[in-house]
Amino acid sequence: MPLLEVKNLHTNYLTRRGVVQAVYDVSFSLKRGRTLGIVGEAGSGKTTSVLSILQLLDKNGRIDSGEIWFDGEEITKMDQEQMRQIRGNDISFIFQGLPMSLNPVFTVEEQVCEPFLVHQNMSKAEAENKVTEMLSLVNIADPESVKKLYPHQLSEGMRQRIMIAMAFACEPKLLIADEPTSSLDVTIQAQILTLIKDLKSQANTSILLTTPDIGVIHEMADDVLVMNNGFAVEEAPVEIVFGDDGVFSHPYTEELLKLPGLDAPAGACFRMGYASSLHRNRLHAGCVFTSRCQYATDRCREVEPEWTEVEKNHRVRCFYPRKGVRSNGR
Amino acid sequence: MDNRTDLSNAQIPPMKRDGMFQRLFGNRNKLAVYTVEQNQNPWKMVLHIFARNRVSKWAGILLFTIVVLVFFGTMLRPVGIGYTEGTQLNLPPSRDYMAAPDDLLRNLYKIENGRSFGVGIDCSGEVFIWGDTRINNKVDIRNVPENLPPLVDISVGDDHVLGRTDAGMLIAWGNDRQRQSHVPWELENIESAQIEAGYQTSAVVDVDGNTHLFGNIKNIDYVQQHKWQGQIEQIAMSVDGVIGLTFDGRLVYLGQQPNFYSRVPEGRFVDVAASAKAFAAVREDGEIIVWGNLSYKGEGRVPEHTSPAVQVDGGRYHFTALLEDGSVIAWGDNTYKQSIVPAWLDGKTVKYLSSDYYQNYALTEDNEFIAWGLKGYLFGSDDFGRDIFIRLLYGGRMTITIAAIAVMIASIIGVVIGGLSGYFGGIIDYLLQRFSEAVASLPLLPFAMMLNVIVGSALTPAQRVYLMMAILGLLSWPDVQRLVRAQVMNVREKEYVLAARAMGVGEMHIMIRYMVPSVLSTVFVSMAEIFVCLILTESSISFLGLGIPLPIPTWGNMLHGANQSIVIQSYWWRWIFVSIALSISVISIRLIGDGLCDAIHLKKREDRRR
Repeated sequence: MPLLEVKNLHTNYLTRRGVVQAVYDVSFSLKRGRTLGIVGEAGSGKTTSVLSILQLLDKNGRIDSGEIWFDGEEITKMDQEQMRQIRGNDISFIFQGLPMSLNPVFTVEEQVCEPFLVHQNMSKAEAENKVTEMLSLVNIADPESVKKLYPHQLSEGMRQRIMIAMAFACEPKLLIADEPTSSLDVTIQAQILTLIKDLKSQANTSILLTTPDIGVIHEMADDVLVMNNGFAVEEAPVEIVFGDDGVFSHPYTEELLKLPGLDAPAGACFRMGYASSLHRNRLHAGCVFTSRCQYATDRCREVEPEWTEVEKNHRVRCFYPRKGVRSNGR
Repeated sequence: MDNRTDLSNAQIPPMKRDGMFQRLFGNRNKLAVYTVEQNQNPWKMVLHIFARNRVSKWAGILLFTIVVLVFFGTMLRPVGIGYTEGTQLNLPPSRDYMAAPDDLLRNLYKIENGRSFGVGIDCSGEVFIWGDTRINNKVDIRNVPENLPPLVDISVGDDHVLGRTDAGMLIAWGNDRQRQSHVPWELENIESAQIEAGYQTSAVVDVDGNTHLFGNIKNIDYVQQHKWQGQIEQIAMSVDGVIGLTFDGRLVYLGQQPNFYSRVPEGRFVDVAASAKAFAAVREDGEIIVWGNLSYKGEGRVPEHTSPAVQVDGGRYHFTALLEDGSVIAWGDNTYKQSIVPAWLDGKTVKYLSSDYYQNYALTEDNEFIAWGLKGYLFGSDDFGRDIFIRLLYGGRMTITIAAIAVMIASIIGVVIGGLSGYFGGIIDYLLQRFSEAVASLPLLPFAMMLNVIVGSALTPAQRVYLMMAILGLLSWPDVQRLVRAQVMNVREKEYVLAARAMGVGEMHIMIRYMVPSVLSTVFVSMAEIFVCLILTESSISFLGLGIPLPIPTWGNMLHGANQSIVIQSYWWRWIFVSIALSISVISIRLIGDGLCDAIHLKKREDRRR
């Protein structure tokens, strides 16, 4: 049995201009001890999907239908109090824009104490000892003096590591990391990713990671879920996605992988689509990627493609999944 | 790895000084952002910056002084709510009611006090006058008759002085409204044994034992043809009664109506004296007997004394007595500590004792002189004879308490409503905002006045104080509410709140631990502003006579009389000190609020200066 299983999740936002379907029919599962990476550009529904799991959506966000099974329990039906027990204890969360996730008016110690006090009924003194332990676990030298400081006195990388310390405080079964590295510079990204990996192996935690950066996926993930415009478009183990000899893929994944690297020739650029996230009201039938898809045919525009199991563990939501031999033979 | 940087030696840019204000109070110190970073706790940081701002620091010290004075100063002297004193009306600020000149003391013969001034004669008959001698626009006690010959005896009344010359002629000066300073021709050269000036009345006892009164004798129960004419050795006059002491030591009442005075004690007496409403007499055996209209002020409570009394003297509401062993006892009204014999006199032998009004003078065998009692009124007295300084303290306590409690009410309501509105949003927000706008649209001053008049007319003065607090508090919360709501809405969207929620922190906990601290600073600043506004509003309403009713003092209703031109022109002390106190407090609170605002929004302040 997988640790986390999301089945046909639909999440909507109610706005003044109508309903926005931010996540449409997304399913995935995460096995114990594995890392699932959700990749997709901004506005593709990654964050909404993970926030749906913890029911931390904004007030206008709503899980319309779908089931989320965590550790054998259906958690979409739970009330706030039951969810509160799960949050931070069984599932912890690292946010995007992470350096801002620390409260500026409290010291590090007071904040890292919080999960112990909330979930483990520790006394203040015990919790404070535990804080020192956690801070050294995330490679903070001199934790005794650092824990007396306020967030604004620390560097971004340290704040990040403190957040990670808080996330691992209760040894969660699942860590959801929502774009944990997007606000950091490249060297710190590498530090942080290594740290998360280390802690994962120590605590035997499963990780659900979202990122717009396909490189991070390659670094961290065991399985990949590609999302676009609220749809999951491809699901595969990481070796298949990045494998040179892969035969099948979704055109969007293909484009993501074509992102120019440092060694790319000058002038190479990513064919980016805009505004697709705005008309997410399912006004048009067919595949959501058509407007940007170079292979799109009339069939794509009229009929919504179903999942195709192209090989073992590899599903693609496209009529023409075979690379090189798509709709028009390109 | 130690990320902290030691910035304790960081250079602060030098101050630029310009303008008189800056030279007087110092400039707002320029603070670079990094000097702030070394402070750890955000609250400590705010205090630190606040203390560096000299203007608000001095304002804080000033306000603190005022508050301490007002709350602890009132413990010094209690004030009766219904206190009135007809002889002490509208006296200007002065501290020299007992400042007898040294020339007199060197050779003292007799010393007596009027309502607010003292008169003494020395052995050579020279007259000395001190204190606040101005009775009204025309009359001043200092204006002694021209070519005043040396005097051998004087007696000082409420507002006039009676004197006897060497040649036995009676001379009077001072207020003559009741003809109390107008010696009738048949008395001018009478051979007098005693002269006595009282309240609007003068009396003479001649050597043949006859009494003569002149002045406002309608006001006093006295018959000229009383049956003891020819037997009186000494008299004592209260405000409205005369007691005589006959040659054979009996006390007799020289009026005709049976009253408290007429029940004179039996026995043989050696001395008699009067206060305003009571008499005290010394019996042959040294016992002191007091009778008359004995009030709650305690004229009747003669203290235990082992030595027999030989002489008794009366002030306005108190008595003093000289005992055989030369010690002094005093009893009665103690408002101005006139009934507490100074410890300095312990063990000394007093040979001369004189008490009048609120003052006492004593001369010892060694010619050492001491005076005790009311020195004068620091800030003058008002139209009920009350000490304005004391009322200023009590009034300040009342005004500040009312404003402070109203601010508490306003901030509590504001924080709750603003918090709910900002945190939950949606329909709750909509309804609460419309309600708040409705309250905010009520004009504070007129509406508070109306409520006070309509609701307050059925209440006691004490209840009206609470009513005032409630009205002001209930009308001034929308400002707080609006600021709190904006701040809560701002914080609610912050990542760290979402992060806390993701950590499983409960909603209530988030409210208390995340919203409240961030809202507090805003609330403090707006509290200072509302505090100022409420002090002024309460004062305005009370000034107009619609707020806290007299005689409960507040700074506002102490100014109540100041809308009459006579008060503004002649009795400047009745409004100027209150106005100064009010202005200083208001300006101080404003500056403190300003300093706090600057300290909290340091970033904003730096931007503003650029």
